[in-house]
Amino acid sequence: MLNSRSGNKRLDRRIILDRSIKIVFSFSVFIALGILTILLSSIIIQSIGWLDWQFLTSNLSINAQRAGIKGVITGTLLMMVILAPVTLILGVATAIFLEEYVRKGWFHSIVKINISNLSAVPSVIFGLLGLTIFSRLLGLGSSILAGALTMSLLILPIVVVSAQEAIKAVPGFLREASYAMGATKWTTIRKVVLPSALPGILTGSILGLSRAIGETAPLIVIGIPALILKMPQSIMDNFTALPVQIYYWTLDSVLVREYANLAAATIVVLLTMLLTLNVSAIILRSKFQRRY
Amino acid sequence: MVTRRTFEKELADLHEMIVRMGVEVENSITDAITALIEQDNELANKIIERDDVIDDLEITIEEMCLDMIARQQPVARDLRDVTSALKLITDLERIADHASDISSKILMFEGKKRVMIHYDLITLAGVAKEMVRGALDAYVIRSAEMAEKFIVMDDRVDELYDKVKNELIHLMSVDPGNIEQYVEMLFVCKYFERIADHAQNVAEWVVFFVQGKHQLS
Amino acid sequence: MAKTYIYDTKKFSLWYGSKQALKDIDLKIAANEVTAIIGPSGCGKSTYIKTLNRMVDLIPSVRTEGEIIYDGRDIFDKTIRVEELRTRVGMVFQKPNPFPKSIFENVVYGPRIHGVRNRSELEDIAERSLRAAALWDEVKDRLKDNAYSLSGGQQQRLCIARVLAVEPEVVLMDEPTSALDPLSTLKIEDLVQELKEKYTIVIVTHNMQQASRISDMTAFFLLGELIEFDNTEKIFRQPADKRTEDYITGRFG
Repeated sequence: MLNSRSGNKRLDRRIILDRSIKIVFSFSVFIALGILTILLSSIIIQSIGWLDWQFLTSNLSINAQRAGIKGVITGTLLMMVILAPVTLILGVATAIFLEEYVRKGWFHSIVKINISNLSAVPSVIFGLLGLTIFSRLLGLGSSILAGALTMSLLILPIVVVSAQEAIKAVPGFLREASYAMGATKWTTIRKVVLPSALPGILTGSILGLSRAIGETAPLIVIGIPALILKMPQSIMDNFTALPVQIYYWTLDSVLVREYANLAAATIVVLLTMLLTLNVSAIILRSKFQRRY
Repeated sequence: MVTRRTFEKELADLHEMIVRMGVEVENSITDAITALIEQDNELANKIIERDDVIDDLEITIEEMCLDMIARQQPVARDLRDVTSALKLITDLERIADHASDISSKILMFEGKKRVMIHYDLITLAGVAKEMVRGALDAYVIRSAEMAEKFIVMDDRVDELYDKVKNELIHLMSVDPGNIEQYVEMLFVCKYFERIADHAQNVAEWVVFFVQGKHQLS
Repeated sequence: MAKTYIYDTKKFSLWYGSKQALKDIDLKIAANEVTAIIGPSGCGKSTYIKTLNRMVDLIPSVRTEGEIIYDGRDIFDKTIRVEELRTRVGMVFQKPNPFPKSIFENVVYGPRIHGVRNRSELEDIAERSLRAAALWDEVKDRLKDNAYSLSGGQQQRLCIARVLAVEPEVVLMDEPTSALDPLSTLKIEDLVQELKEKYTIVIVTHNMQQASRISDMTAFFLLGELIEFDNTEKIFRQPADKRTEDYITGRFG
């Protein structure tokens, strides 16, 4: 078959197709990378001269020369400090409940579908939810606590799903071994399942957190102000976060052109934080890679 | 689907070889009786030659058995099959040896005027031959019942042996000139009696193979 | 010499949903003996051994009838604490399944979850159990190493040590050597012979030569029923049931 003339022609065509597809794919990668490079470099260029130690250690100010993002960074970090444990505990508990305690049936499937769908909901909706429940109903206004709780709702689905996957990936024979030793379900979860699932859970949580750092819409909806001069002292204080600050400075850069540079500098800071988080997630994942 | 086809074939080959050995042994006994009655020295020599063939068969069959034990790990009835084979070929080989011994005695009568062979001795020889044939038949059809019939026949042989012995002793005292021949005749009788004993053993191994226990006799 | 019986299975049946896996099993397992359970695939032998420590509970839609008496009580009784049963009746699985922890942590897992905290006590237990499992000399200098750095045969012996650390009465083994190479298999068989002095061993095996080598009593299961149960020499020299003989001589279809 392969030796006939028509067979040869077919083979030739297939090889050409193979090679051209490869070129098309490489091309699309280059386009994506190209756009990314252009974006990044324009930002970095804009931030040159504006991103310095003074910028990082000063408070916000209307004066573009004197403005700094010390308070903003603090705000973001404080929000993370609350967000991380809340999401982790809530998310992991949900995942444990779903994977270990609920019988695989219609209830399990419905909950699972709903949680995955939540991650597709636009973040602004979460903002509205946070506004209604945390800001208004619980009277938390636009404090760090309100922001953290709102954000936790946003990234909860990500954490739950990745924790679920991590727990599911723990092989059944390890659980079997634990039960056969006379361990209860909770002991088995605590001593065998969670330790094995931990890398996956952490990776998922870090990815969730890095999303939270960059989300703007929910914080704006709950009413983060454009200018906060004081540093937040407690979780009940008003605050602002990096992405929000970027948003407002970009908006107002039509009024004060230097704001664009401040925004660019802030973007660089934000991107650095994101990069660090994601790299550590990757390192964590590869470090704990186990073959069962 | 028959599993262990190779092993089944090896067992079938084993049985065939034993049957072959049995045929040779039976021939030797038949020939020994004939040679005795007709003083046929040529036949006697043939019996003695055949003994080598039978010895070789014993060795071949023994190797087959050991081979099967090592390679096939037989258990239960297969194990009894192989081990009873190992044991009964020893008895068959001894039977052939005795036939050969009888032939040697026959050759010793050569050239002399021979005394009459006692009727009871021929009867004894006949019963011994029956026992060998019967035990081998029981082996082939795997019948413990049949084997048991031939096991009890040994009593008859023992009876006949005592009778012949007493008569030979009597003859020795009334005809002392031929005492040497009577002594040789007694040996021949003894050999047939031993053949019967070994035939009884063969029958007992058949019972063991089929039923898994020894017949206490 | 009268035997002490550890397990008395009385007319025991088990269903997976609508499929009956065990039919009216009557079986007494004696103390300080090795009882082997043999039979073709699907005969119920693995199911049976898993009922002895109620690991069948982990399978959904399992229903049972009849009793299995252990220490004077039916182990399927509602008042039985299954965790306690599983401490007194340990299990070694077909594929070695050590935890992804250090060798030391694996061995002391049982004692730890039962409340032993004292470090030196745990170390004693670890040494004792690893010695009993004939593994101490090979791992005494690397107790902190991950359990997965051991070979298959060593991992299985580690799993045995792990079971022995809680000082059970019975050790159940579900085809413990089927995933191991022949030399490791023989080492573990030797170990089983040593262990029977202190423990009662029940071993499921599809390797008949293994059953005939190491067991005192052998039970032959077929299609969920117990066909024959007797001394191992009797089973392998002269089984009473033709089905048993057909199985052990390999004449099964």
